[in-house]
Amino acid sequence: MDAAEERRFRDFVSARSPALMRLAFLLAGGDQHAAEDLLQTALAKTVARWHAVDAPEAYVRQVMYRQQISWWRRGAFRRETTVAEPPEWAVQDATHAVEVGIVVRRALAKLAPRQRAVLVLRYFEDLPEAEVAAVLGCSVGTVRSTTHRSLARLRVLAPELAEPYKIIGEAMA
Amino acid sequence: MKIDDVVKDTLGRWAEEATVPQGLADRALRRRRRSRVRAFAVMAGATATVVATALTVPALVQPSGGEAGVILAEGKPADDPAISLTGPPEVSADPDATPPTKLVATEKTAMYAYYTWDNEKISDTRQILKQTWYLYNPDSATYEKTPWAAVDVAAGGHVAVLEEAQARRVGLLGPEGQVRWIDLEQPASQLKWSPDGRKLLLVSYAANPNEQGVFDEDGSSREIVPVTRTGFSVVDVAAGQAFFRPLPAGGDAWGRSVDLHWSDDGTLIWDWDTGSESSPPPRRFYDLEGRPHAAPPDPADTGQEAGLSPTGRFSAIHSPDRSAIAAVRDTSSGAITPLKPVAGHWIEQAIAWSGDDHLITWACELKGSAGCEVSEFRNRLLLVSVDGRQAVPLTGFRQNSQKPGSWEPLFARR
Repeated sequence: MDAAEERRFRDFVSARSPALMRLAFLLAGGDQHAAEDLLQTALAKTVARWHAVDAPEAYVRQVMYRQQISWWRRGAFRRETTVAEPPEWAVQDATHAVEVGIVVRRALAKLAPRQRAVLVLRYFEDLPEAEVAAVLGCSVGTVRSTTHRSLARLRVLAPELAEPYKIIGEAMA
Repeated sequence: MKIDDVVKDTLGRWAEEATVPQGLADRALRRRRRSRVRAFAVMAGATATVVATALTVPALVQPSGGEAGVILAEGKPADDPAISLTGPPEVSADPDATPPTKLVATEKTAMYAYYTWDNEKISDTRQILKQTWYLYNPDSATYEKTPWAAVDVAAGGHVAVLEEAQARRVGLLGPEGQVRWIDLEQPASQLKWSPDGRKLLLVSYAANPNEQGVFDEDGSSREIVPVTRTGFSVVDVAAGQAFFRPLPAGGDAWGRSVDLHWSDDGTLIWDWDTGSESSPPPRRFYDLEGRPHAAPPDPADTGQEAGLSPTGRFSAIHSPDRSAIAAVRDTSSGAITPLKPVAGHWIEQAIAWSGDDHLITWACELKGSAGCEVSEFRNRLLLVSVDGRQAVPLTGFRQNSQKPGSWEPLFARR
């Protein structure tokens, strides 16, 4: 990497790190340190292949998705994540919307990384199923079933979601 | 509200709680930038007086191949240092200026030169990364623009220059503006003083190594211009002799990674083995004939630009914890002192030692308890005591070190 490429990389990181960090944060289930590790690892891989990467942001995102799942498979990141708000506050106070949001966060943090990754891709990144499949390197059918199972798992972890929320496509699955 | 919407809404709000850590780019680049200031060492310069003489005199006295160093400018030898810093060896700073105009120096180390950089477009698809060098002129007590394409300064203010990329000769500047030129067998684009200041290493390439592709309109891609090293020359400065040795490398997309560097003791040279899978790649060592050579024991690779202190008592390293980016390690006891925020600054990088007791660092304006106001690229040179407790600003803040027009310093011992 020469000086100009290094500047381009720095410009890229400077411009896109907030968005990439938000993504890493969600993938890591709200664990800031794990998110930093995840993004840092992805950036290190990206800089090593910088000369061959045409679309750096897409590349970093893909590395993070796959890295997160890979780490999970190795067990490196199977640790309990924490949510900032104490449960008493979440359950007994504030508006229903806030309460549900906090409960859902806690439930999302407890999902398996692959389940969480699918939900992040579908609902945070707004990617269609076919693109999610391409990013994760699996079939569209797997994306669909994983999404369904992930949402069903959320309902188990967060009973507040059982009603009146409906899982789209549940009847078809 | 559907569960999809709840999940979508929750993810969006939750993501906003992520905190962007400082130094992401630095950390990713760290392995590749360890030798950046020195590796990119097309550094140094000349005073305005030097410029005038240098541009005219050399053309009149062209040394022939194999001839010993030519003496120019009324017969005065050019081997006295080009820059003699008189006056007491003390800290000299220009804390409100960027780049500085007054001398930046400590008791032991001086910023003899700096360069600014820009991209010069040569076609729709190609550009040249161009550096403009400024050298400190003790007579005018300021840094002055020079015409040199590449410069390096050895301890004591000895200055070597190249007139252009693919230069056919290397120049040694003298104090009165004279230049002693030494012809090269092969054109060279990179030069570095040996640690003892007695030799020069010049690296030759098949083409200008600073030529690059131009990014397309959306900034996402550009042509990769392969850089091919052909070999190197070692110049015996006193004898005025240069010997070229073939040592081909590159031809792929690794850019300046084919540069060559002196070993710490100046008896060997090395490059990165970029064909290696490991990261960072291992170093390959060669003798001064270009023959592969075993690596010296414990080659200093401390991770921070400053490396080992002059006596080897301390080394500048990456901080092992999140309280700082850089740290100082006592090489005998192993004790580590993170360079935590000091005097309203967050220390980003240790770039040079001043004796064994101070470090010259890049530092930004501290934001909160860790990190930078504005951005990590807005920073200034800061002198920090080895215990991390005292700091003195040496220059003003660079507004953005990654933008064309920004500057980079060149330090050497006084």
